Amino acid sequence: MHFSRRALLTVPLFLCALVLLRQGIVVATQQVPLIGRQVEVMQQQDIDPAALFYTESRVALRAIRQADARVN
Amino acid sequence: MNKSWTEDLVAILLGTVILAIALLVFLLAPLGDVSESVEQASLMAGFSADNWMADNEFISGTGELLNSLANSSRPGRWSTNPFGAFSLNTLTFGIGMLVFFIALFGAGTVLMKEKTGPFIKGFLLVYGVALAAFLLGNQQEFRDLGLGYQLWAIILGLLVSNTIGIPDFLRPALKHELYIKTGLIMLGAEVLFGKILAIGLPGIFVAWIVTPVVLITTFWFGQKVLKIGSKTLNITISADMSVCGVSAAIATAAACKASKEELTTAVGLSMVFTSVMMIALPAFITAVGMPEVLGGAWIGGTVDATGAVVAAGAFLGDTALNVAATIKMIQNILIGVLAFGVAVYWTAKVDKTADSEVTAAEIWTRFPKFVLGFLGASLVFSLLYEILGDTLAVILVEGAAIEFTSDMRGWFFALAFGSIGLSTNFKELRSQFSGGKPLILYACGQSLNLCLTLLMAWIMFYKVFPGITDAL
Repeated sequence: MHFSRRALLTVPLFLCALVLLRQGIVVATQQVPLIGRQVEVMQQQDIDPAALFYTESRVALRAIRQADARVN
Repeated sequence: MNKSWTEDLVAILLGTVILAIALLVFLLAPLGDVSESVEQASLMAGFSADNWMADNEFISGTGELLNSLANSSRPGRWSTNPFGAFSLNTLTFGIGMLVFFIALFGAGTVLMKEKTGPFIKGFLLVYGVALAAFLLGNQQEFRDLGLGYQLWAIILGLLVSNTIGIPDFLRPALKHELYIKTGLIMLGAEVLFGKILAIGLPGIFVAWIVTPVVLITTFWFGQKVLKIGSKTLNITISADMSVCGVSAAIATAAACKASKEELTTAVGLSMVFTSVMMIALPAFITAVGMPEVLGGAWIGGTVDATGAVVAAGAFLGDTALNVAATIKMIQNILIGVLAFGVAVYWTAKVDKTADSEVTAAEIWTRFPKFVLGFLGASLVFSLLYEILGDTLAVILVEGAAIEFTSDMRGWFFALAFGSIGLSTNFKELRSQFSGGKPLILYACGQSLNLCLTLLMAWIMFYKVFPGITDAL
C-alpha cells in the first residue's frame, strides 16, 4: 500500500519534471540565439554531443582522419 | 578448483569474450575479401576508406545480427512521442539483449560462486533502468544539450531507490563494479596508441603535457588547499576534469576504488560543466575573433566529453572541428596510462599502512587486475591497427569491430550507472557536496586548464610549428 502510494506520487511528478525540462530547452533554443545556433549546427551535421568517447562519434572519426591527412 | 573467481577476473573474462567475438566476426572473417576488394579499389582515383565503406557491404549476416543486438535493442530517437522510439526490432532485439546479458552475467555469478536466480530477478530491474535511460538520452532536446544516457541512468536509479525503494531480493544484481570493469575492458579496445601522432607534435604537447600538469596540480590543490577529505573523490574529479570527462572518471574511480557516490558526484559535475562549456566556449572564441586552429585546440583540450568537443568545434567551422576532435582523441589515449598510474600509486602509496614497507607480492595482490585487461585490450587493438595498415584498419577495426564493441560498452556503462543510482542514498550523495568543495575543485581546476591549454596551443600552433597550422 505504502509502495503503490509512493509510486503513484513519484511517477507523475517525474513525468511533469521531464515535460517542463523539455519545454524549458525548447524555449531557451528559440529565445537565446546562441543556443539556437549551436543546436542548428549539431542537427545539420548529426552530431551527438552526448557521445562519451571519440569512437562513438562518426563526425569525430571523420574529423580526425581529415586532420591526419592534411598534416601527415 | 573450488576457489571462486574475483570480480576483476570475471570482468576480464567477459570483456575478452566479447572482444574475441568482435575480432572473429568483424575482422578475421571478412579480412580476405575486404583486403582484395580494397586493393583493387585503391587503384582508382579519389579512393578513401570512408567512401569504400559507404559503397560496400562487407559485414556478414552474423555481424549484422550482432550489430542489431547491440544497437537496435536501444530505443531510437524521438521528440514528443516516446512510443515512436520503439519498433518491432527494438522489442525483438531488446529481449535478445536481455537474454544475452542474463547468460553472460549468469555465467559470471557461477564463477564467483554466487546464486544465479536472485541475480536474474534483480537484473530485470537494472536492465529496465538502462533501457529507460537510453530512451531519455535519445529524446531530441535532451540529446541536443548533451544530457546522455549516463546521466539519466543515475537519475532514474536514484529516483526509484529513494522514493519507491528497492526490496532486498533485487539487490544481488546491483553489481556496478562488475558492469563498469567489463565495460572498461571493451573501452580499452578503443584506445588506439598509434593515433597519438595524428597531427604531430603540437597535438602531443597540448594533450599530453598540459593534461598531466593540470591533473597533478588540481589533485594537489584539492589535498593541500581545499583539504578534501577523500583522496579518491579528489583524484576522480581531477581526472574527470583534466582528461576526458565521464570515461576518465569511470576508469580512475575503478582504479582507485572510489565509492559509487564519489563517481556519481564527478560524473554529475562533468555533465553540467560540459553542457555549459559546449555553448559558452565557442561563443567566447567567436566574440574575441580567435583563429579557428587555436580555438579548436583550446576546445579539444578543455571541454570534457568528446561529443561536446565535436559540437563546440563544429560551431566555429570545419578546421576547428578537425583540430578539436583530434586533440581530444589524443587526450583520450591518456585514459589507459592514467588508470594504470592511479592503480599503482594507490596500491603502493595511498593504501599502504603506516610504518610498513609494501612488498611486490602485496602490491600485486591489491592491484586492480582489470586495469591489466584494459591495457591488454588497448595494446592488442593498437597492434592490429598498425599491422593492418591505415585503410584496412579504418574499415575493419574502426568501422566494424570497434563500432560493435563501443555499442556493447555503452550498454555496460548504462547498466553500471543504473545500478549505481539504484544502490545510492540521496543523503550519502548530498554529503559529498558538503561545503561545495567538489564544485570549487572542478571550477579551479578547469580555470587552470583553460589558461594552460590556451597558452600551450598558441605557443605550439603559432610559434613553434606554424607550418602545421598552415597545413590544417
